[in-house]
Amino acid sequence: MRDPYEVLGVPQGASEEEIKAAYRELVKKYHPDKYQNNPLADLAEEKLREVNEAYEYLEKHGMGGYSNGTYQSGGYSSGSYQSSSSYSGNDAYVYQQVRRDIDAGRLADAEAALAGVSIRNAEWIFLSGMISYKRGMYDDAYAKIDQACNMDPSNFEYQRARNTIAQMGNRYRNVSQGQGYNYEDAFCQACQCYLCADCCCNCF
Amino acid sequence: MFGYVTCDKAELKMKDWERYNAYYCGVCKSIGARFGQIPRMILTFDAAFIAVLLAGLTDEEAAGGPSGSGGYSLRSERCIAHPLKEKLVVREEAVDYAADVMLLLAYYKMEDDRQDEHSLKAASAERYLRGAKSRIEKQRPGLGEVLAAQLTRQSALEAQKCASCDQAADPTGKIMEAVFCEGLKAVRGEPAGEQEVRRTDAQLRVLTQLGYQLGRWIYLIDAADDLGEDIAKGGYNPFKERFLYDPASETKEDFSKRVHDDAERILLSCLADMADCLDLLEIRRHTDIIKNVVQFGLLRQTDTVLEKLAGAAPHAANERKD
Repeated sequence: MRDPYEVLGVPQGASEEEIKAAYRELVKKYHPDKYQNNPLADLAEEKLREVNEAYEYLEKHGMGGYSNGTYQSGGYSSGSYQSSSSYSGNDAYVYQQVRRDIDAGRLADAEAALAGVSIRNAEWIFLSGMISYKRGMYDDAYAKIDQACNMDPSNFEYQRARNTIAQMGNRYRNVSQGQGYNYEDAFCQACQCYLCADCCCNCF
Repeated sequence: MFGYVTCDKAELKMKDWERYNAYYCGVCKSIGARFGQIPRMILTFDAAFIAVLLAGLTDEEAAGGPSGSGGYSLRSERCIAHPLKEKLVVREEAVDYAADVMLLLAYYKMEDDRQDEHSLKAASAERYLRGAKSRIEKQRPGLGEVLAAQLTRQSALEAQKCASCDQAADPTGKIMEAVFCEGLKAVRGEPAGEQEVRRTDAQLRVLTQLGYQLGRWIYLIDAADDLGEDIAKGGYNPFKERFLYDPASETKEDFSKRVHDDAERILLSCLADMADCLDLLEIRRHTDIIKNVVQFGLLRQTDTVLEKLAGAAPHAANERKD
């Protein structure tokens, strides 16, 4: 096991408060929700496990008294692909297989299986969109899943997937803002003037 | 595809700003020392980011690269562009690697310009860079092959007026993917021991995805930035095809405004994914600089281009430092 202090990024002998704060930050950083459907989800899960182990260790050995439960990743892991839709006949079977392939990252297999289905209903288009999503092609994914939503407006799974993509930008912006990103206002314009002047000065 | 990857100076600590510049100067000097003075003109801050990110994946003691030939050094030097003031210059494997990448990209850009515009300037620059290019491709075969193949694909996609932003951006994504993955191998060398191999594999997966999204963003921000110009000149632009520009019913300003929200969603989805990847990357140095670029610098560039689409005064649009 790696040094638990190193894993949590706190100095040896850090206070209980510091350890808890660092732990909470890291849980946020590697949170399964953030990496849902991301091909790198397993790496995030591994990191989170390491963080949990380190925290549990310190809980037992270092921070006496404190015994809140650690964050359980189990509840969040996958589960996204329990097909909620009911399609009849052969296609339903193919779609199940396609979902398993997508989940396991076998995207070429999933694509080939989909190509064999002749009736292109909402589910077909949704799954095709999820393949694009897994490939990091977020605009194709959005367009397809949006189309699936329009074809089957009552399907929550499709809607949730569409919203996740639509919200990616906001999620990113919020982090930037939280860390101090400034939108252009009069003050910043002044800053920019200063920076330009500063760049000029750097020439000499 | 040059010049969009920058830091946000206002949010960077002074020491990090100096260090970032030291990498920039390092790449410039590396090009100068190995390929002569003229190619130094092609340098942009993109190269500094490649160098800083790859350097960040190694410890300072190991920064000389697997061959250990160069080793790490940070020195104060003068140069042609700044004859009066000494500047900090970094030397290490990641810097030489970024210089090679810049040169290869510059060569192919010149080749492209010569074919597209029959420009004499591009033709002579291409001839000038050809020797350097074959030397680099011999030394880094993985990189050269991917670059040549993907750029050919890109020309084909553009020629057939590809109507998918994602497909059109795919070749640039694949190129940056290769740039980072080959880069990790160049700065770290072969991993030793089972645990190292496992960790390197994990890092390569993260870099693959991170590089892919950065490449997509570079291609798409350039397309969004050039949208007005491409419409005016009738050139290919993925946004034009994807969102069905119709000259009969809308002006180019109206169209730009219409695609604004979609362009924002598309550009930021790349950056959101990149930021998630960055959280999984084991960075050993320069964390603040790398985070500044990904979380602030790229967002600033995106917002500048989005403002341009929305029709705000084109002040400082795509401001680049030379």
